Amino acid sequence: MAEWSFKALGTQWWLESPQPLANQAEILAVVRQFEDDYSRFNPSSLLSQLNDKHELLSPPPEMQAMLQYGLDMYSQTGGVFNMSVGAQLEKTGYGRVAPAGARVSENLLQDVQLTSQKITLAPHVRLDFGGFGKGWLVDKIAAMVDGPVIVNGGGDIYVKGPRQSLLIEHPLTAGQAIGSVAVGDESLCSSSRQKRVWRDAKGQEQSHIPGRSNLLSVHVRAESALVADTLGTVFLLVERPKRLELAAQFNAEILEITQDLDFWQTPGFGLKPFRS
Amino acid sequence: MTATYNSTTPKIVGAMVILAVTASGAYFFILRDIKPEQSRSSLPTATSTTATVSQPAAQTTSVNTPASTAATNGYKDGTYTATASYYVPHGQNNISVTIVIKDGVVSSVMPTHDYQDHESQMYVSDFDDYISGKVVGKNISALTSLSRVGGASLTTEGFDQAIQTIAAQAKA
Repeated sequence: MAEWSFKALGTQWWLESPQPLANQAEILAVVRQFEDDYSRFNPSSLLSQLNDKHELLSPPPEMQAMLQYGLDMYSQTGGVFNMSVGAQLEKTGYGRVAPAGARVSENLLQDVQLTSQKITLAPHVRLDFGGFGKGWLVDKIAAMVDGPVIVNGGGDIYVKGPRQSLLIEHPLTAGQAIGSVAVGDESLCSSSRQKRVWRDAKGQEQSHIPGRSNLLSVHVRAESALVADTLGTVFLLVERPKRLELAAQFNAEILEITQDLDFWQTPGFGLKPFRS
Repeated sequence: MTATYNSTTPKIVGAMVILAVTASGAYFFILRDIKPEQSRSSLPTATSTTATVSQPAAQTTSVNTPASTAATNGYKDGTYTATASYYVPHGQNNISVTIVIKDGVVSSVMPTHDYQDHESQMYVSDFDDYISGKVVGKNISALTSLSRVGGASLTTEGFDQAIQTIAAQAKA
């Protein structure tokens, strides 16, 4: 087995394959281009240009596809998954400084107009790909590899090929796992409230996932990292009945860990928990 | 519980989720951040890290410090808070991490929010068919390929920076 690691999107990435990958340079170039194009932190990215000017001419097909996906997920989750939530993040001090008046869109389908020639945003709307960008890139990298590979972007994984045994990290304790799960041609993504915590200008603690829930972390198995990543984000924001409904809709399986460190999984998730 | 902070002098949150972990977990966490890298760092880049160390005080933490604090693994007991500052193109962000080390092992990491949420009580009875239990953590072997560890991992660079600062401070 060969393992290759690099940093991207603010986290560590690992790729494991039976043989060293011949196209590492090509993969890295794609990763850097993805960062340059879609980072919320980079003021010259296509995303920042769109947010600053409220329109972007001749957007690359990939960006159109990502936005279309975000709009579709907005519809399919009844508005819970909302790409414009970044404005709220920026107001709390995460990332770039949001201009006055930026706010979360209450009608994203109206506020984002998408054609192959042009993307147009309503003046108060700013978008970001934080809820699914990493999953998108995980899938993209996996597609660039011929043969089996494990692509792990900061804990969000796609396994291409036969089933592999993965460990699920303890949500609070670095260096520990809570059990294993076998995954093949499928993704395992996780969302946690602990992931990004920072303090705003007033010293108040902020977390990058708004809303309230007793979930410490949620782990999702789905056919693609894109779907698993998106659902992981959504699941922290909705209650369990809605989680189950969405999981059924997307053919996904859920493992939840509560703040009391109880775990709960749908039968198909297949976690083999460690026992004391 | 509402966590309140002074922006320059992080204080310890009164109630935290307390977990026992072995120090090897902390070692693991530190070690994995210094894995070889083949490319330039991406934003955000940590540019400064500060740490404050407070020996446990009764009014700020529920952990009592044994008289003898030096443990065999070399970590001193205490409550450590580190704030990593990193610059993004339009400003500066901070990430703060609080760790309690008791009897030489990390007993808790980071403050957590208190969520007043009734869902677990409301729906528990509806899901008898599902598989549930209590989380049991086991150390990830040093031999495990990190590509196989999934989770809501705490690999954010700022967090890593803060952890490393704490590790340096906590070394006896």
